[in-house]
Amino acid sequence: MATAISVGRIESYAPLRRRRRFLRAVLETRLVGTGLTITFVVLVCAILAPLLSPYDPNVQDYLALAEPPSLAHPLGTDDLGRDVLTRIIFGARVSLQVGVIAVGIALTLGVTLGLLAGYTGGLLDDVAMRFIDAVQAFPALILALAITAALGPGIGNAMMAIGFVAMPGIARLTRGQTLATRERDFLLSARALGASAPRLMAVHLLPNIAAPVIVQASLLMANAIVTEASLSFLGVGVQPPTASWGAMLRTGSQYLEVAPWIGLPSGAAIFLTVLAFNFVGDGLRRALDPRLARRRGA
Amino acid sequence: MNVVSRRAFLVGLAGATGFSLLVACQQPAPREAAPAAAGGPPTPAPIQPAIAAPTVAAAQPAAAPTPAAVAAGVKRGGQLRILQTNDFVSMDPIHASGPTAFSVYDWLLSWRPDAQGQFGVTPRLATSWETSGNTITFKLRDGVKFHDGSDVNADAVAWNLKRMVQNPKSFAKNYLAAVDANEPATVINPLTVQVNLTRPSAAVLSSLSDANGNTAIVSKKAADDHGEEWLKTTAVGSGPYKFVSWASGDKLVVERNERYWDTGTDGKPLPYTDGATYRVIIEASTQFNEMRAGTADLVVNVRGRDVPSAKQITHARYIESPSGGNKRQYFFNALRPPFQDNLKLRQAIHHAVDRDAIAKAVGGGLGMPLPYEFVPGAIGYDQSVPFYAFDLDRAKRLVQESSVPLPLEVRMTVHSREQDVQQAQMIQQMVDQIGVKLSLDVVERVAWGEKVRIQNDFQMASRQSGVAVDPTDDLLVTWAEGGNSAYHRAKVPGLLDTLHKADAEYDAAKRQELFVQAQKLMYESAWFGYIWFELGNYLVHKRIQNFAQAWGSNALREWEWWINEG
Repeated sequence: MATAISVGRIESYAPLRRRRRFLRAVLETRLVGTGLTITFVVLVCAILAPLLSPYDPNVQDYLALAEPPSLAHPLGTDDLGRDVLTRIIFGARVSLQVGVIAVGIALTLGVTLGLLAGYTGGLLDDVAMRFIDAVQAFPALILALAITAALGPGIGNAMMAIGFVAMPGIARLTRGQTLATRERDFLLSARALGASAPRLMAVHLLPNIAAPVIVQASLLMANAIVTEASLSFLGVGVQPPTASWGAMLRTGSQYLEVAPWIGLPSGAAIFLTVLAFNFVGDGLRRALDPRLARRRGA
Repeated sequence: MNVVSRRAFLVGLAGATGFSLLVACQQPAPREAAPAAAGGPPTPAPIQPAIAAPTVAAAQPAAAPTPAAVAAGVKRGGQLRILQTNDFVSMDPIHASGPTAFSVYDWLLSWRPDAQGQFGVTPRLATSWETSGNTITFKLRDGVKFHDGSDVNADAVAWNLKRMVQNPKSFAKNYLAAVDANEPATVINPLTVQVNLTRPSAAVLSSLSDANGNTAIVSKKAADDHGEEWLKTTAVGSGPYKFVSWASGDKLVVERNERYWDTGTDGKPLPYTDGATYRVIIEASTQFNEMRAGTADLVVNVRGRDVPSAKQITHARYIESPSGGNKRQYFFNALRPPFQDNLKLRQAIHHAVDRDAIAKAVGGGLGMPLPYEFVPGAIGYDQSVPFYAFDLDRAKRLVQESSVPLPLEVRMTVHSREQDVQQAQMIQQMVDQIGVKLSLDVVERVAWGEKVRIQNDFQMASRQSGVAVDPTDDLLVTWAEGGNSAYHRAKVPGLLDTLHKADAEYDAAKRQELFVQAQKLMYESAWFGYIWFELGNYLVHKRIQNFAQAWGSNALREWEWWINEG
């Protein structure tokens, strides 16, 4: 009985210890903590934007055009008299929304394609990889621009374009991991026990190749945010009057000399958010890398 | 390897962020008081009335040089560096819905001021002209050659007129609506050509002048040798500069035509400079920075917000143009709902738009509200013409009476120019107050033309247009069926007749009356919303001498400028 209780405790504490060890590994460097803090702030801004913002992001005040920072408008107003701070807060929503959905699209397409190509091999692998080669032959931003130009400007099309151009990296990574894993003993055993191909891929392969894909996805978030800002800066992303950091940067660039407060905050927001996601991605990589884990003595 | 420590990086990051915030929070540099801020919108100097008198004109010399120009001393050589916002559309003038290689071409006539500053037509390739009934006979300048060596003669001019009015894709034909499309011109002798009209036209002479970019004279031999399609990419004219190269979206390069017929103040052939480069830079702030860096000689239409800074550039002169500028308008699609058959809805939108606020916010110190098609001072302008004043209560009442379901979703197609997008966002907020939810479809220039002009795929759109030297030009291309700018596809009973009458009328008072009548018809039909006018200006490098203000930008007369580096 005592043994049973003891085993039960060991079983229930083991995941908790693993989680703690994982968290310690993630937070091993202070940069990751900084990244997580900034990401948390951006996330809070995005979720609670209407509660945190002092104004409506789209309401124009013609008596307060391009006003410098003041108590009423801590980051000033833009060319149409809108509160810059409010638009920065609401802009976080757009950036995170685009980041999450675009990375979701990239993961769905890329993981599916990579798994199928890597597991099946043969003709399907060849065709899939040549397709990936073709997509990667285009510079990502140019391809995203072309897609949004063809589909029409707008946040939905921008997300699809960003997701699509990010997909090849995920697909290639997934395929590589699948090739390295598919001949391992546990998979051969599962196959010998009669597991179907979809089950093998979904239940046995995917969990074992997930770590590098998760790291890649976290880094893709940063890329997606920059690409969205670039598309909005070029006028084919989020359409006015929706608050977007890229579009605000574009307006601000026209007023850099006479009203620098219009553009600088959005530039700083993009910079800090991208940096934060990169820090977090780096932390995840360290935590999930088995070689580094061994070095830590885990 | 020496790497940055985490502590150093974080300290640096905090410092950079703090510095950014400090810069963002700084008080703006004191700016010159803009006219708008001083109370009320600015009023530009009146535009010279444009009446092209169809009388016998004696050959006149080109405008005399200013005393200052003579005193400064002419210098020859050097390259002009001109910036422009809109890309060249085509090197063939009849196909150019925007800029073309203006300085490569000559026109029959020139649009220039006389000694009193009154603009009118003056000789260019034609040394004189005579109107009789429905014909205008032009005497051509002897000895002028195209850049390919062929003669500028009556044959070439008649061929040009024919393609201007008969080519189905010609932009020139709408400005030459009075010219007989079946027999546009008759060759009388090698240096005399007769233009045949179907009715009298007061505007036709200005339309054949360099105030109209589409009526330049191109080489017939070049078209015969290479085909007319080739002219779209290569400009062959008889103008002061010869075509060297054109890269779409980038630049046009031209060089001096050593055999140009006109002479400068030093008695030698124009142009003074060896050549010119016209670079396409869309962003106003980039153009402005080029001028500030001293790498450009001319920027046209500096934004109002940049004017105080422009005046502080020590190596440049800021010049306001009383004869230039852009009108900003919006219009509805007459072929599609919800505006198609709903006058009250159109009127409601007009009453909801506060043009004073838009002119002030978007125009900076250069904007003035303009509730009419015509600008102050131009023929046709009359303040007694009714207009849709900003009246929110009336707008709400009208939208209720229009029987549309509220909120009403409407799509507005907008050019991606900075001012157009700003203006559209303001209109969006204004009409939101009467229950109209405007979504903006912001597209670049070519896509705008494709959607609005060609596919008629829009509900409501905005546009800018320059100031035409004769109102007939603008109005006919806007209201004639198939007109270059008749994007709305609306037909207003009586309007075209009135415009044709105004075009055929030579008496200034009667023309004024007819234009007023036309404006009332436009007001009643409410297809257009007239918003504001942006006064034109130039920022000219001080090394440029003999710069004179032009009507619009078609004829900058850059061949009459010289460069004085001192």
